[in-house]
Amino acid sequence: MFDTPFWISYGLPVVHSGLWSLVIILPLLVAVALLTYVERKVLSAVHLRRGPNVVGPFGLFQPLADGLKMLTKETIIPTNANRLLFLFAPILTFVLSLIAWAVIPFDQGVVLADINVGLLYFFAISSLSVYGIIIAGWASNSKYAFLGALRSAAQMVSYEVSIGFVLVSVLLSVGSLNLSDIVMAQKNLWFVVPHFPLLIIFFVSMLAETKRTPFDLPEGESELVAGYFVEYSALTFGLFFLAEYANLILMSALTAILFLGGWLPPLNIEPFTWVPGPIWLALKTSLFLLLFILVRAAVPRYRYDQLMRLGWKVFLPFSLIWLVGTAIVLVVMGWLPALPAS
Amino acid sequence: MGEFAKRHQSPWPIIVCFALNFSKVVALLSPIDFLFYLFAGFTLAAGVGVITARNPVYSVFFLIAAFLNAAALFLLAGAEFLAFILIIVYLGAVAVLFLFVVMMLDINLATVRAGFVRYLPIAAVVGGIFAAQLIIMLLIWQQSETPPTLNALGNSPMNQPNNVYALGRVLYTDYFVAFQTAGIILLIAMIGAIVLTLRPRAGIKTQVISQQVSRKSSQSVRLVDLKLGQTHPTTAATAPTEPQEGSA
Amino acid sequence: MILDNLGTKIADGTLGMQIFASGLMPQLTLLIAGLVLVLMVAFDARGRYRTICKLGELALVASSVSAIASLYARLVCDTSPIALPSGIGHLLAVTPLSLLLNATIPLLSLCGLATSARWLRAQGLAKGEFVLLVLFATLGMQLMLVSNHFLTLYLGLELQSLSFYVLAAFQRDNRQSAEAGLKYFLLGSVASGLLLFGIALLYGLTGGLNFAEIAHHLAGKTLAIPEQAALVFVLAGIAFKLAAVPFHLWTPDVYEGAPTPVTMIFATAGKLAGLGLFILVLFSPLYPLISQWQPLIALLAIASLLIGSLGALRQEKLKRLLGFSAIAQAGYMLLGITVGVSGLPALLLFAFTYVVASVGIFTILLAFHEKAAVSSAASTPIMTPLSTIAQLRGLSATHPAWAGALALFIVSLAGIPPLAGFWGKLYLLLAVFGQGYVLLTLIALLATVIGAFYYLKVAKAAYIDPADYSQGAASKNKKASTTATASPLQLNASLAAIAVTLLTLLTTVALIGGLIPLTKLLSRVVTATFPTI
Repeated sequence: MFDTPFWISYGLPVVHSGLWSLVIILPLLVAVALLTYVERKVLSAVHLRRGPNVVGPFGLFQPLADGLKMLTKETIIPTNANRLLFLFAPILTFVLSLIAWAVIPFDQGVVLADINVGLLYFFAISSLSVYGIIIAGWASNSKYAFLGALRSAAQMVSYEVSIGFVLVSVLLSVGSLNLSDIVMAQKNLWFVVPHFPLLIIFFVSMLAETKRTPFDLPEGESELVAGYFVEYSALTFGLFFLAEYANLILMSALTAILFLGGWLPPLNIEPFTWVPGPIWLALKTSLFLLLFILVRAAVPRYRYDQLMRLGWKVFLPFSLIWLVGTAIVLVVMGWLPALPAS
Repeated sequence: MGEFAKRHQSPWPIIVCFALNFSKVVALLSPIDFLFYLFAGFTLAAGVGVITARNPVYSVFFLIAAFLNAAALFLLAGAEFLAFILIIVYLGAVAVLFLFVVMMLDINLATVRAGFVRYLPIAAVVGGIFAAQLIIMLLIWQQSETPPTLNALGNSPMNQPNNVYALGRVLYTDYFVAFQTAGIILLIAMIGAIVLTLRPRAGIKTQVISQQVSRKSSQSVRLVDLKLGQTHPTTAATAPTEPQEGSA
Repeated sequence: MILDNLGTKIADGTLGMQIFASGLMPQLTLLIAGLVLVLMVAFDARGRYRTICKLGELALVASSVSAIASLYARLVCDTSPIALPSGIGHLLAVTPLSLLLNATIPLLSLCGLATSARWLRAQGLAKGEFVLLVLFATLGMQLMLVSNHFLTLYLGLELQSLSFYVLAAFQRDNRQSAEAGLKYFLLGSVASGLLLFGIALLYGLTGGLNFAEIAHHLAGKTLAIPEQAALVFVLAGIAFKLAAVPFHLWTPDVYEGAPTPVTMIFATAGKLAGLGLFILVLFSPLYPLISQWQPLIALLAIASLLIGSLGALRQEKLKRLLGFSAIAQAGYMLLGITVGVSGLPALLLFAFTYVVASVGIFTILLAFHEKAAVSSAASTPIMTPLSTIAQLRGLSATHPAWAGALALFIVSLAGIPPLAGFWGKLYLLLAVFGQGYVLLTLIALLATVIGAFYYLKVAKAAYIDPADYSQGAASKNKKASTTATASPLQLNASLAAIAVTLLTLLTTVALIGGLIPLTKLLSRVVTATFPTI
């Protein structure tokens, strides 16, 4: 280490991973823009109206126009707000929604950080994302924002429990916390078949975790105006908005990886294998994104006690029982995954 | 402002000079060492922040920063499982509860401050004793020719494929009894919390899902054939104000 | 492993034999019963306390019986203990002494549970969780006593402590009870922290947590400050559990504030477990440090004896008095430990006589309720157990049998011949004197004299002091609460209280009669437990 120059031993890794991050982040941001467009289009189709159709062909440039609008508006910081934390909260939320992508594998070996505890990394990042919201709610120094933040913190902490048990059941069937290993373990059978109830629990918990309808109580525009980001405007609001949609895509991608075999084609035969892995992953992700949007169009908001009841009294016991059942089946049938060689 | 600052009028030369020297020092370290000192320094600074911050909410944020940096130190040491469990458990659950409590309780800073000064000598003595012991231990450890090997982990898990595997193996074989006992302790803690706080309140309406689900349309919906301008005798008696929508 | 070929082992019964021979049956019984009862309580929140209580009592009896059976197999049939599988063997070790204590402790918890049911119902506290907490506290004590590793020792201790904290605060609407719970919790946590710090130092010094490893490492070493520091921290942690001075401050408050049946469990089962903990830690991993800890323990003993006895003198409240008495008794127990292994049989005999007498006294306290003035809000009178000594006045006239039993227990506790307590104390002091600790013996004698004074004060209240119902009746129309004796005692004994009192009486008598076989048994247990020392 002494003979390598300082700039090489420190600079190169930083530049390398920085470039890789850009390769992930730029398409992601484009996808977020597209997603907002698709959401509005799908919702309007459900509502029997036309949706965005003025800016560009079929209104395709609408997200661009929205983004420009957000950039050019004035950022308002309330007088009594805690200035530093007020600005820190949206940045934190946005950053957390991006860094979780580091462990998502797009194809065999195509992953920024192929760490052996990828699932734990994802779980840790998702448990950190509570902070952006709590900080936003507290720093705004507003009752609505604070109530929204408290609601969302309680909600996210509660649903993380059942998400955790779902993850444990999956990793029990894989024997590894590495996301690429999890995909490869589904080579013969996607986990959606044996673990179908878990997929449902996971998807619903994802809805709660991303605060989407029917679990959007933290925002609760009818009673809390907009919850934790009432006071945010312009770019700071934009960061929350981007983070929410980036999280949506992340969660969908993770669901695809855990239950639908990630980049694997549905059947390992000729016409399917021609399509490259990332396309498959994108297709499966889109499927869940579409479901997210349709749920928003179809399901009314839950009441708070119902939300808590669902999380603690239905999902938690069920996922625990399923975990024990999985363990028993694996042991009795001798299907325990082979442990990594010493 | 000393003579130096007066002469130069600007702090920038000092900062640049320091940064250049600092980079030379840093270049002597391996990246891992550099990161270790970086995160260790942050941890210490955050720890100091916890006890000196004016606002208790800031204290909790400093605590969170300390946890994060400790997790980074774990990562550097190759204990990735511990690092992420630290984040998930302490940051994802414990510190969130701290924040909840601190944000919701209006803690009177003045009394906390007063107590701080009053108990500082005692705290310093106790802390000093503990620190002195640890230092003595370390010195003895370094000086002894055959320092004891810490072999609580049994048959050297270091050669296992990764430390998640190694930890799981140790917990579920050599320390199975202890692990399960810890589980029972947590169960007791839960039962205790419920016993001491749960109060079934009388006179509140709660939702009974099974009742709602088992309700049939035949029990609750009745089709009534009404002519225009005519009111049904029973509906008029029960709900006179609500307009009834009759349907055939 | 014990789990290999599980199916065939269950089929031909070898699994059951293995578990029995391992001597861990008492713990397993309690664990399984506890987990089943958790589910029962969870899914049947209301009512059914009676059923759950009965099942819990059954589990405690089964646990005790299996411990006795294992002890019998060990001592009489001389079956050598089977080697525990690797995952368990270095964490747990079943010794005859631990079996003996593990047979006794569930019985003491059982007494607490049996006599508490009626009182709990009167307080509206008859919740299944009470049974659960008692069961798991007992499990913690048992686990702690069979540990062979500081990790299991600490976990067992925490299981016991955590259950105790909650039990102390069980009467949550009562300020005293809540305060007792909080105080016990805070001080207990600090004590646990000290213990952990000591354990960590030991780990750093020896590189192991297993008792044999630690003893092995400490044996060949020249002892320096770190070892002594570790010893001091471990001692401080466990002295708290035994309520020895200077870690006794919680005792009177917690004894007084906690619900009486809970205090009974603290004073009997908890005390015995604390003693077992001391014996386990000092005579197994820390035995190489005996020259270091002997003077420390002697100091603790002297301080406990004096402060416990002197503190008890001024008490008017019965439970506070028993709390100080418990501190003094801790002093006697520590005296026995100072003597070394040769003092252990006498020490155990003393502990058993103390525990039996305590059970008796607490049962009588629970059997009588003071009928408090009927408040306008509550239709049923609030029952409180006896709390002050003055309330006992005239007991001999109204309830001669109960007064007689109380007097017997008190006199036994005070150590007056020919009762069992006397013989326990005599053997203990003889053992101490035999080792040449004259000063210690003298101080113990002094404490006994002081003790006799305050114990007999209780007996005097029951027998000699006149009952003053008239005064209560006279002051009724002014202020009912001018004196503590205002309202007459109301006998509220349940069948369980009568049975426990009778059994305890019988045991007291049996202890006198069976003194020689009992000491023989105890010394046999001790020699079997510590064959090398």
